[in-house]
Amino acid sequence: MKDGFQPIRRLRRRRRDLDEELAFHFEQTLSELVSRGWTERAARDEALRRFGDERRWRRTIERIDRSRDVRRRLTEGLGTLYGHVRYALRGMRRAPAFTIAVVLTFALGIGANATMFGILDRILLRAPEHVVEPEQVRRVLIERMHPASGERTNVVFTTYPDFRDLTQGTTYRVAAFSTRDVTVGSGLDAERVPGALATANLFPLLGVQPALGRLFGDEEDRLGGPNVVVLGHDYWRRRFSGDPGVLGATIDFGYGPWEVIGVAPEGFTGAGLRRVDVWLPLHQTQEIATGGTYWYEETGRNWSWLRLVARVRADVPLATAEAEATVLHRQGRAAQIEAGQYDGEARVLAAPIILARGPDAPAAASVARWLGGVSLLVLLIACANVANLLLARAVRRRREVGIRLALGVSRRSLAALLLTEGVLLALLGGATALLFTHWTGDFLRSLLMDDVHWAGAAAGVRVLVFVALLSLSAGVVAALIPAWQVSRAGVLDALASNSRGVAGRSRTQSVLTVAQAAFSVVLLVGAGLFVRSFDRVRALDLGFEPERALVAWPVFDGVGPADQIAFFDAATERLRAHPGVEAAGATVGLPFFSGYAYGLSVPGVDSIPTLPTGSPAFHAVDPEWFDAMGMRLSKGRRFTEADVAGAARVALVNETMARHVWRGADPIGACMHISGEDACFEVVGIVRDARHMEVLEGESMQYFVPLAQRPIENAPEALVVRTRGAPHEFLSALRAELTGLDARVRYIDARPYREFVDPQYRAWRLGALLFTSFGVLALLVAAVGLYGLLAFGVAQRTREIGIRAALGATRERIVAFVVGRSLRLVALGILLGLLIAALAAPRLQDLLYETPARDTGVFGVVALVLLLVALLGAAVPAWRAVHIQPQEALRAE
Amino acid sequence: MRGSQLQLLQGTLDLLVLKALLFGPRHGYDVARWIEATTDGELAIEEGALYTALHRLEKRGWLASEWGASEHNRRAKFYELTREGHRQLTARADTWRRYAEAVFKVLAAAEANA
Repeated sequence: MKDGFQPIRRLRRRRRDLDEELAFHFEQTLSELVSRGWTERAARDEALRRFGDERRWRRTIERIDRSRDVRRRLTEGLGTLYGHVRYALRGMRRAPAFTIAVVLTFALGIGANATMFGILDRILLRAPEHVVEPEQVRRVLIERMHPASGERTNVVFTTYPDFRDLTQGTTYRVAAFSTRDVTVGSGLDAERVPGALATANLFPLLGVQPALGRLFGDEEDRLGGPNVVVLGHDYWRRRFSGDPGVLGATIDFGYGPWEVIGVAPEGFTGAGLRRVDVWLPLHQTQEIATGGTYWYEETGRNWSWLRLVARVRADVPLATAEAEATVLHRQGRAAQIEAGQYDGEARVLAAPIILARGPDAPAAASVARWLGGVSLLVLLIACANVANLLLARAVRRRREVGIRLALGVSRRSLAALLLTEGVLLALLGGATALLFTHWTGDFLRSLLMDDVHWAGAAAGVRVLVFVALLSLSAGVVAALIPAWQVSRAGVLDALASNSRGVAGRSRTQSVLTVAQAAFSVVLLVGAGLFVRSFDRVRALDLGFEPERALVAWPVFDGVGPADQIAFFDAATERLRAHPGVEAAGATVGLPFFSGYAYGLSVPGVDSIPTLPTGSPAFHAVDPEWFDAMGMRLSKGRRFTEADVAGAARVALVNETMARHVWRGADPIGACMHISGEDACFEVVGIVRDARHMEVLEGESMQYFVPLAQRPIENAPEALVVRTRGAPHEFLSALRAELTGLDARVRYIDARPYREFVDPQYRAWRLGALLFTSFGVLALLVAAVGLYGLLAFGVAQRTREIGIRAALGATRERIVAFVVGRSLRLVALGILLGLLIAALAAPRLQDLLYETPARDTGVFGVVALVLLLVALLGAAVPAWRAVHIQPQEALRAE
Repeated sequence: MRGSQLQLLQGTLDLLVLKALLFGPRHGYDVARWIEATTDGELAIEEGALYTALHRLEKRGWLASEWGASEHNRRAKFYELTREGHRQLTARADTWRRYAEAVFKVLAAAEANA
């Protein structure tokens, strides 16, 4: 009965029934006719004639029977399901503590996954919103030799003339854009919002339609075009309350009024994922912002500022489009290649529109991918835990199960009952998880990638569907083992045994316990590795102290360099007088912000060497700038107020530069010519090394001249302020201080210095935080599971323990009897986990910093923590077991 | 057997089958004989169609079936009206009667005017 494929069995049964029914009919007909005197042969012919075309009727009847069967099974199935659901709900109501424990366990596991899915869906699975046929849309990268390091790198930013070269391609269309913050309004009310300059063809290329009004076209996106702006949907709702009357209104970005001509659709972020509040025509805006067109001319080949995106023709292979673009690119750079100033092997690459899938994926995306896997592990642990709990309960209900079996309830329907229960519990857990992710999701997302625009209704639906499917499968997975156990248990076996466990169950539980411990170890090892990396990165000496520093830079509106310099002088003076300020200094060139290199020659040195980090970086700074930065001198003297224009020209070099340029000789007193000038800057001191652009870069050469003596007459770009209190608390005071100074300063942008440095720690911070959270979560779930299991075991074996106690077992023996086996299992799990971690961890190596993937310290601590937690989980049940009174225990059943 | 039998009107067979079962459970052969006897063999019913009707009505839930022993103690499949089958029989018989009466009225009128 049990074997054979169900549908075929049913088909056979229907055929047999029909055969029998018709056979009976023919026999009856035949015998009646014969009894009326027909010959056998004539009777048979007559019976067949009366029946009609037998084969045809049979086919018809079989079809009817089949659909009858299907309908009947469906009705029965729904009825059974309804019954199961009611039964499961009743059971859940009867054991609220159990229900809550299981639902919460599921909620943690599913919640972790829902959160990670929301993130991965946005950065890895889906193209930016409103991009039509995103497979054809590619980000354009240029792969070329890095002039200093000699390595091939993928360059994201390109120049306008390079863009123009590529527009001649026939196998693709290409558009350019540049994101930058723009100032809306002026004075203290001014606001910096994320904006994007885009060529008009970006919109049709991506396939986006406006939510309101229209998007700008070629007639607006040109040099000298009209001032028009398209608002981001979010910004429109925030600042204009979603008023459709906004069309025709004007916005002040500086440079005169800009007319609003349209609103982009909700969630539109162009080819990237960063929020865009205002879309501006690239040609017009850039001409106004730079006050000229040098970027537009051939001279613009030295200024990389544009990002390119292309739509490759559907009938053209990617490689063909890349090859065409490469030829065009090299043609445009032919003169420079000829002169040896540009890599002749440079290639144009078409990278996926989804950044995290490209060759230039950020480390955070890679960490997020890992965390996605890790969250699945958390769910597995949760499932194992629930399976254990369900199993324990199924054993307690063994008598009930046995009785039901004896009453003729099939094992299959008992197993189905358990599965229904598991799925119901998981669905409840999923619903709880949705609440949970609603609160934690925003926090995690902003932590992961704060420059990604996460909004989007479609994303919500996808997360919902994901959670539903995940809950369903988690429920099935968790209930499968208990269901299997129940369906195997014999009726008599179940009835005969009192509620003590049998070997099959405890074997399953052992496996689950070992698995939980092992998974927890793996997660915690990951956490430990990231925490250690993060610690070591954080402990790195940057050579300056960003903690109490902030950077301020004014946004000018049509102010000449001389007036800008005057503004900086006044601003520096004003701030130095402020009681909240320890030091303030203006600068050209700022670590982690901007770098400059000028031609440099040193008499007696043939050629200035180049390091992987580049040629020596130029800075022109106020004397107090070093204090504001927290940079220290290692030799010689620093700049003073006496180092003014016209005085003897002086310079400082950093230790690396001293070592590489003067090769061990003392540079103090040496002379440097900057930017081809005849006048000599005399080196008067050596500054301690500091990072230039990256936390993890190699050593870099840097030199400094007094701002007052700088050879190039451009204005300072920023002020560095060292505050006495926390820098972010000083921001508004600083704006208020500086805004009144000059009416032509539209906006003072100021940020804690940390904001420029911190994003570089993100991958480690993220890994440390999330691995730790998930690891602790897993540990908690596992510990609670172990506790529950042991406590349950003690309760079950009260009688046995009582007998042992009565027979004179020592406390030690009782404890060993109750928890010894479980603790041995945990120990086994720990060993297994360490082994798995040792095998898997090396794949993390690229994401770690100065931490070996098999760091013995981390592995040791994790093993210890787990052991400790297991002991804690076992302590209470053991205590309870020891205090069982033999007399009461014997009366217990 | 007569020379010419009447062809069955659409939907009539279901009604005949339901009626045949009104007096208690019968197997297919019995239903066929009962209809033949009651109509004096005037109706041309292919027995294959009859069985098809039985299975179709069972699928609709108007009939229930059960295996039982025939009068000669042979295993046979017995059909029986369900509650829904009773309801359908009443409703359909009524419709059919009104339909037939209407048609008779027309035929009677035609004779009178001839």
